[in-house]
Amino acid sequence: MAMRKEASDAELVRLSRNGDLAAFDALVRRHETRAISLAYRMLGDLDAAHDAAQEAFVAAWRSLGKFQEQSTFSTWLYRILHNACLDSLRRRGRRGEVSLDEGNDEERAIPEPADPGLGPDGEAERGETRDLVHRALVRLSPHHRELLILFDIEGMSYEEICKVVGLPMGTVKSRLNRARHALRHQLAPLLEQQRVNRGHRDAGESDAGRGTRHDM
Amino acid sequence: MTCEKAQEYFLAHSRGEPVPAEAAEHLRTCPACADALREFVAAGELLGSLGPVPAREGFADGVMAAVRAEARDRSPLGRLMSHPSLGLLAAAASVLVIVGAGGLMWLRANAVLHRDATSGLAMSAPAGGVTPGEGMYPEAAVAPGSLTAQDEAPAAVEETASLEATLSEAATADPTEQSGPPSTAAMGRSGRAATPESRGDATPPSHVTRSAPPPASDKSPAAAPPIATEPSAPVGPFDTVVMEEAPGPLGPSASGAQGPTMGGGGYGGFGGAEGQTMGPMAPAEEGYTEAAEPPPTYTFRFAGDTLDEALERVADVSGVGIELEAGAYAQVRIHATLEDVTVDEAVERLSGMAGLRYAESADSGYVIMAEGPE
Repeated sequence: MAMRKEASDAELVRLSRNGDLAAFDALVRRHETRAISLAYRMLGDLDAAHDAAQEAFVAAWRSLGKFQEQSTFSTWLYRILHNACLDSLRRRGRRGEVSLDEGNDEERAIPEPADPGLGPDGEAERGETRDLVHRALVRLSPHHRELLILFDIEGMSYEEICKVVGLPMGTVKSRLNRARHALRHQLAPLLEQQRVNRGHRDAGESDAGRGTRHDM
Repeated sequence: MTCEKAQEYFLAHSRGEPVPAEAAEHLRTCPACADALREFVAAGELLGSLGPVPAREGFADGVMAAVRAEARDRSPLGRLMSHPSLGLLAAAASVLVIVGAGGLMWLRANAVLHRDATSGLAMSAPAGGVTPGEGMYPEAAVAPGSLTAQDEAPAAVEETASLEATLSEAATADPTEQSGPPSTAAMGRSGRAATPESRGDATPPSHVTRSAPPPASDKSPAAAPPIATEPSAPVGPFDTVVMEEAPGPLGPSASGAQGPTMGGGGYGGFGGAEGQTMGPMAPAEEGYTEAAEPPPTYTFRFAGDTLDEALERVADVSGVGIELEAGAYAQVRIHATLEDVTVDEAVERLSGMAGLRYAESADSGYVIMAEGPE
């Protein structure tokens, strides 16, 4: 057990390749949260997220033999997951399909999740703000969304993102920039609200302190 | 520079990456862009504040169930089932793990027997009637009735290396050493070799190897490389092969001596070429001294390049801490304690790893783990 906990992903991958299901089990448990998180942000739906994540893990198991050690297991897994999410979106049909296939950078709405952040598992998404942010995120095009998820939420480097989404660096950077602007627009009301709140807070503090009002 | 153009550099600028001087200048002087940039950054921060979304309970189990189903189809045994002409083969250095009640495990080196797939995977109690506690595959042709006491175990081998050597030697042992009836004849036509060990009472383990048989006849010569080549063949670090429930009680005195040996088969890994034998599989035999009402025990077989490696795998996979007793390798009698797992869990993990399930054999009462695709 101790061994298991200390084993690196690479070691677990090696064991898994030899058919060691327990090693793969450890990999799944180690990466499930990030996988689910990523899929959920991408799909905006917990059921779909779990389905996509499972699909990705099983596909990873199936393809372990093809895994090249030049990338980390997680990057490789996210690439598979990324594809599983896109497949899920395509299957879901509707407008998301078009923008995915065209690689169009245009903002395109995808079907809004029935109840993002709500429901039995909704506690994962606590707080109104987070809920608003999540909603804003799922309104972006899948291409913008995926980059923002990897970059801003997962904190991946440009290089890792390139590997996950299979795009050249220049495209990733410019698209990320556009994606962030798109998000900024989606969040305009919230950002505005925050500014107002900040203003009120400042005003409140000023009043209390009988002082002058500072603008930031 | 226009605001629109300058906004193309927001990301780079906000991250301190180099941007064209013009853009930098614009961002420094344009109030509108300054506001937009603040929001741009704030939007990213808001996104970053989204916490992780935990997987639902049971998610990993669901994934593993799906994986196991695949593994079963691709496992040596699973493939075997779908390729009746393939013989079962065992890999080198195997370790038999018996998990029994009380949280004890017994590991020991074991000979691996090959069995021809065509003979069917269904196990049945050996015709002659095996004494309880002696699980064996009938086809394996193991010397009947031999419960060996621990002390009769093979000469002590203190180190893995030695043991490994022994195993190799055994594996390569030539047929001349072959003795006894129980040999391969019974094993059928598999072209694969078998190296049963004898546990005859009088037989000292060390030599027990007889090897194998001959090539047989049939159908898949290609699939049956000569055993001689096997020892040197690379063997997968490890493989699980058989799990069975042995009726006998587990006790210190219970384990039979094992002959070292093994014709190891190369472990092809999942997805090996067709016609190639994939995994080791060998039925285990067990001898137990008797006792009453023994709790069920499960036997697994692991293979590795070295016993040490195999042991490590066992511990790793099962979550069972293993402590070698001094000189334990001799009889490979290892005392293990269950750390964070129960016997059931260990069994579950071990079986899960093999991608196999066990099923009860009505007539023999043994539990055989062979279950592949129809």
